[in-house]
Amino acid sequence: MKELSQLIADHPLFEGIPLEYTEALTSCAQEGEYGEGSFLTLSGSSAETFFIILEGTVSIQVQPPHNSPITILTLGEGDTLGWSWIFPPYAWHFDAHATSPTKVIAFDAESVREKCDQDHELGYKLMKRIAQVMLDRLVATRLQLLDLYG
Amino acid sequence: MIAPTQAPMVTTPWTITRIEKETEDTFTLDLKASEVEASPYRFEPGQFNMLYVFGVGEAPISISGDPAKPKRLRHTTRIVGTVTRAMGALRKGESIGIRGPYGSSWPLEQAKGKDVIIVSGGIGLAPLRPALHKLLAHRQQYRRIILLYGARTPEDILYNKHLEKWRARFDVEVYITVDRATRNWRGNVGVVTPLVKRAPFHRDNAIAMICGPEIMMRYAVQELRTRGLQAEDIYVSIERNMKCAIGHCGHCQYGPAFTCKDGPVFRYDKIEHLFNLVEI
Repeated sequence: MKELSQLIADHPLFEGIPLEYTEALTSCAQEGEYGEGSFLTLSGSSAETFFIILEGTVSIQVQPPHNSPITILTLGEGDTLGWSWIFPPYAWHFDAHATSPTKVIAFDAESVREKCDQDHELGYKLMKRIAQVMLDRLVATRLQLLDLYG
Repeated sequence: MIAPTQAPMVTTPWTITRIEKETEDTFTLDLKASEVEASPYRFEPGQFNMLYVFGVGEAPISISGDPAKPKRLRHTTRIVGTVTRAMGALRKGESIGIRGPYGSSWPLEQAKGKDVIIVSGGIGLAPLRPALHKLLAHRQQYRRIILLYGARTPEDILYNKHLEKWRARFDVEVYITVDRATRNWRGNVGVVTPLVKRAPFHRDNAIAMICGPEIMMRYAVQELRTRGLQAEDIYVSIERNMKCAIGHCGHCQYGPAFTCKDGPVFRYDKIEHLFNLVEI
């Protein structure tokens, strides 16, 4: 089994990041597990963590008024979950629901923000990578809206 | 490439033996040759036939059946215009004209000994189903077989029975996603292209076959290239307005190529310069 530092260093999100920075990020991270049916994030609650999914499936859900939740995206192994931790008021916009037993690397958002504020080079490298995740997610959402197969 | 067994512009009547409603607007016709002399018919996965609804018109339709059973010809069609609407109104026992097969096929020979990644969207699964039949009939000749399939909603998923069978096998990896989930859907939600990131293939020994809307294919190619797949290891099926099917009329011209004759399956590096051009 890989150590946490190795899991982080090997993840595509951190590809090309110098060792000193992956070590700094490892110091803010821990592995975690979520049972099927549990929530990694809840809409409106404080965004204190962001995640890399190691195993399992997580549904990003929105709760329409007077109705049951709708899944708008599913994430799986290797995916990054969460960017509300970057921007005030640091509150989640959606629910993230584990639909199978899920293993994650959980990063403490406040510690990561502090490290990024102290070392802007780390902050820049990390934000560039998170921005890529956001861009990929935005493109995918736009494609989803296109009704491609209609 | 398998060519028509008779004069390429001559239509042969085939009889509809079964009609299966796949989705709200999509159906599959099972056909058998009406004439004994039509029985030598063979095709390769990825090829298409021209289907003639008598008195209405002709449409190019991919062959979606098993190439090992060419006497039971299958075509899956979505109703999009006059001919396909008339096709959808045909009944069991009625005749339809067939000429073909035409066009290039999926690179199943080149794929031997490699991981095979199939990326399909919507009705794009239809021309890939014969490839899956053949891959699975010769399973030991290939390494991993990975199917990534995207549909609009769970109700729009084609070939549910086949997908369930393939999913139940331990030697095929099937990932299905829908753009819009319904309440009872427990599978993936989102477009099909990000699934490429999760597909477990070896970039130096893999071949990809893609069929679906062109914008989906563009992003699928991008994801595959990001994963390290070479352009010459990627094949796409291009859809154009094919009329004669033998490269004479020019309706399906695609740059210097004719989709009916040089395609519909193209190696990506051969058409990369055309792939992102608008309205070509």
